[in-house]
Parts: sequence; structure tokens; C-alpha cells
Amino acid sequence: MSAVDYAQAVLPVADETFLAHNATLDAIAEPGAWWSGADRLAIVREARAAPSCRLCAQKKAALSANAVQGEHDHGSELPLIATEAIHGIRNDSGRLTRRWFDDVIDMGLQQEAYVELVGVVASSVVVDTFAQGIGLDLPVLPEPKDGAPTFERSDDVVDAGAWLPSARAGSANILRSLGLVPSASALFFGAFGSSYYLRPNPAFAIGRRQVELVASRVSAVNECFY
Amino acid sequence: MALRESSTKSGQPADLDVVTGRSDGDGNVPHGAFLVALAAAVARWQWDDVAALRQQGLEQLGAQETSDAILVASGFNGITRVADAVGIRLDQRTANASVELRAATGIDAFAPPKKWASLGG
Repeated sequence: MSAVDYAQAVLPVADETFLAHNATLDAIAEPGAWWSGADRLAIVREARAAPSCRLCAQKKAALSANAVQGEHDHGSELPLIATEAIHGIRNDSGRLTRRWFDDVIDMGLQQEAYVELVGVVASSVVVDTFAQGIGLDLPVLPEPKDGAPTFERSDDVVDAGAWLPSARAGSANILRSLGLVPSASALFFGAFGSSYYLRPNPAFAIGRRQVELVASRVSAVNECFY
Repeated sequence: MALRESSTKSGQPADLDVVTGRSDGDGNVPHGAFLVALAAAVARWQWDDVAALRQQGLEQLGAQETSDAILVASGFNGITRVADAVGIRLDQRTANASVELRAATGIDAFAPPKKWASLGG
């Protein structure tokens, strides 16, 4: 049975989207570059649980997130610094700063593991948001696949002004942004691809201006300048 | 930024203030007010509001159209997190072309200098 089941939705879902979202959850269950399949699924579960975190709620209400200290509500065996990263990305990404990122890395999360974590969290946000948006429950997560991480890291990266090295090649910074771990980039853009004009012959039922208006409004709500 | 480009090509520039909530209305985009409300509710995971808007969309916009709008919003709910979590910079070409636009709409406020300031910098 597919992890994603859009058959009960009151709204139509294109096959391409169904296949992409299903492939995303299946891929998350596989061993990644720096996390195991079980770890990657734990990252998704932690991202799903993050909205009820009391510390995150206090941070979000504060003028400066750094002014609030404490321990996140968490239910996984992931390292605490991974929980900090997941909750920050899931709950208050618009206020993440270079200093926050530096702290996360200084406290022991390798850059490559961070990149993969970002890819997993953001991919799950795409799939989970869509499922709930069309009126369904969160998709059931697949069972983790056995196997060890590959420790993949690309050397074909450059400093493009981001906190992390970006892929050397690419037409837009966002497309290069997860280039340090190519499989993380592939995971995210596999999930995202049907949501925008990245694929050949996109066939949205709404017009280009309407697509851009929705995209821009979401960026504004999330306080993202990009 | 792509909204301005696409709407200018159409010959009817969008009112970008609807994006940041500075003004109401359709912003010169068909069903713009509805799409803005739906996008915001999806981005904020306000599912009760989304359910009501979904029904409104079925009645006024169309089922596939509403589904596609939710799909786009879902994708951007993810990609904004990628952009913010890796601290990417605006592409130079876009930055150069949008100085006035970003200032006028308040989008610059989402990219304060401290976002990129390290302890040593």
C-alpha cells in the first residue's frame, strides 16, 4: 500500500503529484547520506510534533528567539541539537540567523547532516501540508529500510554567500542551495517539483499570475524574502 | 518577484501590496483575494479555515483550480524553509532588478543584515 493515499480527497490530485509525494516518503525511509532511514523518519515525526512544542511557542512570541532558553518538547532519540534544528526550521524559519546556524554546527551537527535534515524536514512539510490542505490526515509513514548512510558529500560546491556551500552549477541560488548533499537536493526538489514550474509542460488549472500570487503570499506569511 | 514579472507581461500589473497584506482585494489577479486567503491559511496550517476556503473554492473557483492552489502553497511552505534554513542570498540579477520593489512592499524586512552576521563578522 502506498504511504500516500489521495483517493479519498474531495479535490482531484494529479497522478504526477501522487507519485512524487509517494516517492518522497519512500525515499525518506531509505538510508540517506548522513542519516539512516530510521533517523530520517524520526526527523519527520519530530517535525510533525514540533508545532506543539512549548519552548517554540515561547520563542515565537518573544521579540528575539535567542532570549528564550530551555529544552524543546521532543519524543525521539535524535540528538538534541537535531531537535533544535528541526523545530527551528519547522516552526520559525523566517527568524533563523547565521548565528543560530553556527551554534547548531558548533554543537556537533555536521554541515552535511544539517543539509540532509533540511531536505527531509522541508520535503515532509510539502507532502504533509498538501495532504492536510486537501482535507486528509497526515500520510502514514513507511517502515524504515535497513542500510547504512553513504556519507555522500559533493566537492563541486562554491561559496555563493549562503551559510553553506552551494552547488557550483545551477540557474538560481535556491536550486543550488542543498548542493553539498546532492541526494538531499534531489529529495526536496522531487517533492517540490510538481508544485511549481520546474517540470516540463506544467499544467496548472490556475494561471501563471495566480500561481505566483499564491507563492508570494506563502513567502510573505513565512517571512521569507527569497 | 516572479509575480511582478508575470503580471507585467500580462499587461495588468498585480498590486503587490496584497501579498504582504497591506491592502485587500484581488490585486488585479483573478480570484486574487480568495487565493491570498487560501495561501495564508495553508501556510499557517489553519485547517479549519482551509476547510471553509476549500468549500468556497469548490463553489467559486473549481476543484482542480483549488487543488492546484493548495499544491503551490504546500510547495512554497517547504521551499521557503529551505531558503531560510541555508541562508541563501537573492540571485544578483533578481536583486538588482527589484531594489525598489522590495523596499516598497516591505519584503526587505524579511532579510535583515543579522540573518547573515556571524559572531566573527
